[in-house]
Formats: sequence, C-alpha cells, structure tokens
Amino acid sequence: MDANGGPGVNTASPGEGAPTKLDEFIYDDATPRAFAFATVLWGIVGMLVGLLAALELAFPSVGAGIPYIAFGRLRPLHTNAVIFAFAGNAIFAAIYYSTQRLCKARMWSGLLSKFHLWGWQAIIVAAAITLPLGFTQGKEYAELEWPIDLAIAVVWVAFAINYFGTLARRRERHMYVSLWFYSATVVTIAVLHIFNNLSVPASLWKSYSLYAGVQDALMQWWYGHNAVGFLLTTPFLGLMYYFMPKAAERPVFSYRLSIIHFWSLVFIYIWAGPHHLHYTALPEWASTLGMLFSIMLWMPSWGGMLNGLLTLRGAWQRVSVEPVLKFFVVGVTFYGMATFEGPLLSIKSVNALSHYTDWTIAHVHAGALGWVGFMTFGMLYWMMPRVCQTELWSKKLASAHFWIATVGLVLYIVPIYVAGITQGTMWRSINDAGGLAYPDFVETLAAVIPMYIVRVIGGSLYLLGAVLAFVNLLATWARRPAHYDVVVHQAAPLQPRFRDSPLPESRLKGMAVVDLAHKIDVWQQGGWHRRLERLPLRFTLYVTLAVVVASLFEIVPTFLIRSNVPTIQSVRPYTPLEVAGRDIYIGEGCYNCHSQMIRPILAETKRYGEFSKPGEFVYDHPFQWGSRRIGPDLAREGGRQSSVWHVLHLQNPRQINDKSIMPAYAWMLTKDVDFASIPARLAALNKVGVPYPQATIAGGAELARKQAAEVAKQIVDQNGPSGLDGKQVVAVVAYLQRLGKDLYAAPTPAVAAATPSTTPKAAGGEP
Amino acid sequence: MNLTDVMSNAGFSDFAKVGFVLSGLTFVGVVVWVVLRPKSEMKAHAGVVLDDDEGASRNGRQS
Repeated sequence: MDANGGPGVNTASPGEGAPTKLDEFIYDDATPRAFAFATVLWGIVGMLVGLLAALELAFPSVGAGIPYIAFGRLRPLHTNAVIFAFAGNAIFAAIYYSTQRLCKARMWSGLLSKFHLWGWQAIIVAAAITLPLGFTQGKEYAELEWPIDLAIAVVWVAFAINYFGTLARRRERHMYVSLWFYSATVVTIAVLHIFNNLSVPASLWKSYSLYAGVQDALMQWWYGHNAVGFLLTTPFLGLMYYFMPKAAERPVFSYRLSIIHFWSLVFIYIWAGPHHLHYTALPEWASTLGMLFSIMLWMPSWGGMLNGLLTLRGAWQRVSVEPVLKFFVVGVTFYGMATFEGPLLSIKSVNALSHYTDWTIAHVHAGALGWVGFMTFGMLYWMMPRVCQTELWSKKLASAHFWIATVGLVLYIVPIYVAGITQGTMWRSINDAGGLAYPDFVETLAAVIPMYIVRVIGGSLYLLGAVLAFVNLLATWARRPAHYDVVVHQAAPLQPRFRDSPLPESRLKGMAVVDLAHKIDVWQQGGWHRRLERLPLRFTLYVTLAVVVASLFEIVPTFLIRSNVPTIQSVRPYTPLEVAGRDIYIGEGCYNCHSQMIRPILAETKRYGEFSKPGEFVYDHPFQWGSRRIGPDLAREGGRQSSVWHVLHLQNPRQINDKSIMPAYAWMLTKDVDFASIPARLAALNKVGVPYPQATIAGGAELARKQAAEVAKQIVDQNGPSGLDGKQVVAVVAYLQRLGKDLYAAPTPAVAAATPSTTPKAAGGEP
Repeated sequence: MNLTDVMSNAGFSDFAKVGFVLSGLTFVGVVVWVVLRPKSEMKAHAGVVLDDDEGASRNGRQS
C-alpha cells in the first residue's frame, strides 16, 4: 500500500495529489453477520412453507381445511419469504460486507444500518402474519398491503441513504463494477416498488390498485420481471464480481466484459417485462417489444456467465476441495441456464406452449435454487468465517450441503419441466374429430401428480441442505473469539479538489477532417466515462434515467393511447356484492391457480370460450389474469355451472370431482360477508376510476344484502343448502357467475350501470 | 381536452419503437467505448477487488 492508500488506478490518477495523512477506519462486520443469519433462518422458513405448498399439491388432504395454510394463501407467503427474506437478506449481507471494503470506508451511518436490519426483519414478520390472514393486494410478488408497502419504502430509503453516503465518503476513487450493480439495484427497486404499489386504501388492510386491467397487468409485469432482474440478478452479479475473485484469489477474467454486462442489463432488461403477457389482451406492439429485448439479453447474460466461470482459470483444481468455489461454479452455471431459458420462453411460439404451465415454475426454481441459492450459500461460507474471525466449522459439512442441494435441485426441476411440457401438450391436443383430446381439465392435472411427488423429495433435500448450512454457520459463530479483534484499516482520503485528467486530444489532429470527427475521436477514447465512474451521484442518476426513460417509453402509450384498450359498451362495474366476492377471491389467492385470461389459441377457445378482450377488464382493480393454471381458466366462468355447483365445489371440491386438488373452502359457508365495509370499498374503487354513483356507494351494503338474499334463494331453489344468506360463499358465487358475461350483455352506459340490476340473471347459473 | 386525448390524437403509436431505437443506439455506443478502453486501465480496475481487506488489529496482528 502506498502513501495514497491503495495501489492501482486511484494512486495513478492524476489530480489526486500526494496526501500526507492516512485515515484510520474500522469496518462494521456486525451488520453483515446479522443479515447473514437472517438469510439462513428466513431461507429455512421460506423453503419450509414452499415444501408445505408442494405437499398440498401432491396430497390435497395435507391442507386439512385450515384457512391459514390453504395453497392460495401459502404460495404468496412462500414467494415473498424466499424473495424478500432469503434473497433480500442475502444481498444486504453481501452489500454491507463488500461495499465497505470496495470503498475503503465504514458504512455511512451505524444507526441507519441497524434501522435497515431490524426494519427489514419487522417487515418480514408483518408479511408472515398478514399473508396467511388473507390480507393481500392480489398482485404476484407485490401482495403486501399498503401499510407494509409504506414501511418497505421507508426502510429502503434509509438503506439507500446509507449506501450512497458510504459511496460519497469512499477512499477508493474508482467504483468497482460490483458497486455499479448494487447502485442499479438500489434505485431501480425503489422505482419499481413505488409505482407498482400505488393504490387507494379502503381500510387498514385493504386497498385497490390505481391501475386497472391491461394497464395494471403491464405495470405488474414491468414490476415482476424487473424485480427478478434487479433484486435476484443485478445484486447477485455484484456479489459474483466481488466474491468470486476473492474466493479464487484472482481478478475477474474480463473487466471490460463486466462493464458491458452491466450496461446491457440496465438498457435491455427493463424493456423485457411484457414477455410475461404474450397472447393476452396486452397490445401486440408491447408484447413484441418485450420478446425482442428478451432475446437481446442472451448475449450479455452468457457473457457474464463465461466471465464468472473464466475467473476460475488456473484455479479449477481448487474447485474440487473448496465448497465455496463449488457453490459458485454451479450457481454461475445455473445463471447461464436460466438466462438462456428466459429468452427462449419469451419467444411467442414457445410461450404459447409454456405459459400457465409448470414449465415456468421449473424455470423460476432453476434460477432461484440454482443461481440465487447457490451464490448465497457460497457467499455465506466465504464471508461468515471472516466476519466471525474464525475458520469455517466444517468444510465436510459444507461439501455435504453442496451435494445434497445439487441432487435436490435436479430432483426438483426435472420432474417439473416434464410436468410443464406434459400440461402444455395435453391442453393443446386436438383429436381427429377436431375436439379437445383432454376436455376434462382434471385429466391433465392427474397426469402430473407423480411429478409433484418427486418435487417434494427434491425440495426436501434442498431444505435439508439449508438446515446443514445453518448448523455449520451457527457452529462457526460459536467458535468466534471471546472479543472480536478490532481491525484498523488505513487509506488516504480522496482529495476534495480532485482534478480529473484532461480529456485527451484528438488523434486526428493535423488531418483534414471536420470538427465532428475530432469530437468523436475524443469521445471514443473514453475520458468522459472514467469521470462518470468516479461520480457516484451522477452515475446513479444516469442509471436511473436509463431505467425510467425505458419504462416510460413502454408504459405511457398503454396508459394514454385509447386505441390500446378499446372500450366495450356492455362492460359494467361489479355490483357491491360482486365486489365483496371478488375481494374474498383475491384474499384467498385464487389467482395463484386460476387464470382469467383466454388467449386467442384454438385449443384455449375450445376449452374456455371466446378469447379475452382488453376492454373487458377496465374495472378490474387489480387485474386477476394470473400466471399459471393448476386449475382451469375462469375468465368466462359466469353461467357455465349452476350456483349450487359452485357452493358444493367450494365446500369440498372432491365431492364434485374426486381427482381435484383444490383446497376445500368450507369456511366460506359459515363465515359472514363484511357488509359494513362495502361503502368504503366502493368509495375507494370510485377514487381509482370505477364510476359508482354516490347513491350506490352510500347504499352499497343494502344493495349487497339484497343481492345476497336473491342468490341464496336461487341456491335453495337449485336444491342446495339453506341458510347461506349473508355468507361469504354467496358473494363468491355472485362474482364467479358474473365473470366474462358482460361481453355478451346489451350495451349499457357505464354510469347508469353502476347501480346494477342484479340477480338471478346477473348471478347467472341455470338450475 | 385531457392528456389522454392529446396522446391518442398525436400519432404517438410509434413512441415505443422510437424508444427502442434510441435505447439500442445508446447501448451500442457504450459497447464501442468499452471495447476501446486501454488494457492497462482495465487490469488496474479489476485488481481493486483484491486490495480491499488489509488491516492491522489494535494489538498489531495482521488480519
């Protein structure tokens, strides 16, 4: 180390001067240590919930009719736990550890670090309580209700201030590429979270999305896709570019490639979200744009993967003995596999087969268990001994974890790939007579149950591996010294009046070329970007700009150009009882198994009816298109079955079809509808644009009771059970019987329709 | 006349395609610049990660 505090580019930088005094500083290792333990603990909880959900699909009786662990409530708990609790805590552990070292500076504020650590854990606890209770916004990976969303925003801002504060007082002039990835994560997640969660509260635990239908879908998948990109990809790439060279004890293979990798993700990834909505009611241009950008991602993603693997050049012999490197090698390989498969799935013709099937689930778990999980465990096994100032308790146990997790991962994804392709092909099969080869949806489900059972075994093994990691890391922590050694680091402060190197002169000087050519030559020499890399605020601003501008180009036309969502005169707002029923449907997480979107594909229209139109969803706050079909699509469910059929089916699906794996919702037959809250719900919906007149809002409870009495009578008339008046099942049936019928109704002025002439007709269903 | 009317009648349907081209060109520019950077500079930057953890404990032990 020279007098300037560090070798390499910073000391060589002109303008830095020759500082006379070195700063002394101590890294905060308590925060990454705490985040590391939170990672493993919440990881085990999240995986355990996932295992329970997988068991319920393989053996429906496991749910035991308990509302809090019904699949629809459990799946959001699982996804939120593994994404925000497991992966979230993992990236914070990595960021707090590596940022300090890359900046040669302690975190800007110890208080903010503590606030971030405990605030984040409190948010996770709040999610773990509210999701099983059925408090949800009904948008995938953004289920948490508005008070928790606000808390997330506050904690994230505290994290951002602390992170950028650390960058601002760094003692290393050059910001290493990992910091670029972290910065992109911090700003992009903030933008995504805020805009996707804009909603109007109806009560403490109920709100309605500001957006409806197509617009809500576009916004949600802009969020959903980029949450994967900027929470599960960019921070883990930052982690990879820091921890892999550290573990391999050699620099990254190509720093040049890492820069291209970074900018390609910033410029390209943000556009790819609409590939989640192919063949839906989303405008064609948006869908095609999403596909093109997804395919463009192939190159940089594989460049990044190869860059990671080639970092181990000359160190491959260590992979066989170092569990950390084993985890990293498999993790990076799965990054390559998942980022190859992602663009493949975005190709429309492939997507037509894969969408709504378990293929997507297999793809997601290859990325989550393989990339996110293995990189996390590799990072923890490398970092924990260092922050605990001791050796890893057992390398053998870490190696055992590696092999158990690898076998578990394969046993998880392979059968689910098979299940997905089986579902896709069975759904699309047409027989010689031109009809569906498998008209009963349950047939296609029964065919994949054996794969679901193998998945349970794979998931159990992966969970067992995580438990071994917890034991190993806990034992490592137990071996820590009685008092941690206080390690003092030294580095020269950056000069406040740093003079950057002057821009180079044009190499074309003296040649007969126009001025513009000189300027281009100077630009090509890259002095401007070197400056940019040293200016964290401006750098972050440009990253934000790239993300926001790309998002606006994509989102604004769908929001503001009417031709993208043509109006359908016959589409009317839901009645007050249907709103109550829809809220129960959302609360139970029905969208986790049932889509409400019929694609313009022959087999699909034969099975479910006329394909869905953008204008049908203008009052859907939030949209409920879903992303997978464990059960059939419900977009045109209205009138397909009698009301009593729905009651019996909800009470216990297996009394209608013994092969069904849907949970029993028997409590809906005994639990009352919350009529008192209906006016507040209608008022909130009115604020987001549903044209309910004031009279309907004020009398919403009474209108709902009236329709409930009519539906209950209809159920009795159909030889169903009596005494259901005012029970939740009646509201849900009213909602289900309304689905998809407006397309065929007589055109009605929207406002007049806000006080609907309900029942038996609107509630549908023939005896 | 609100913003939706303005946007709907302004022929902005190609808005996203323009964005596609602009974003693509900017990205190509960044790639060209990266490829032209001197090797020595890249090597120095890549080495930053391996030089960040040296220190001495209060009792003089090297970490």
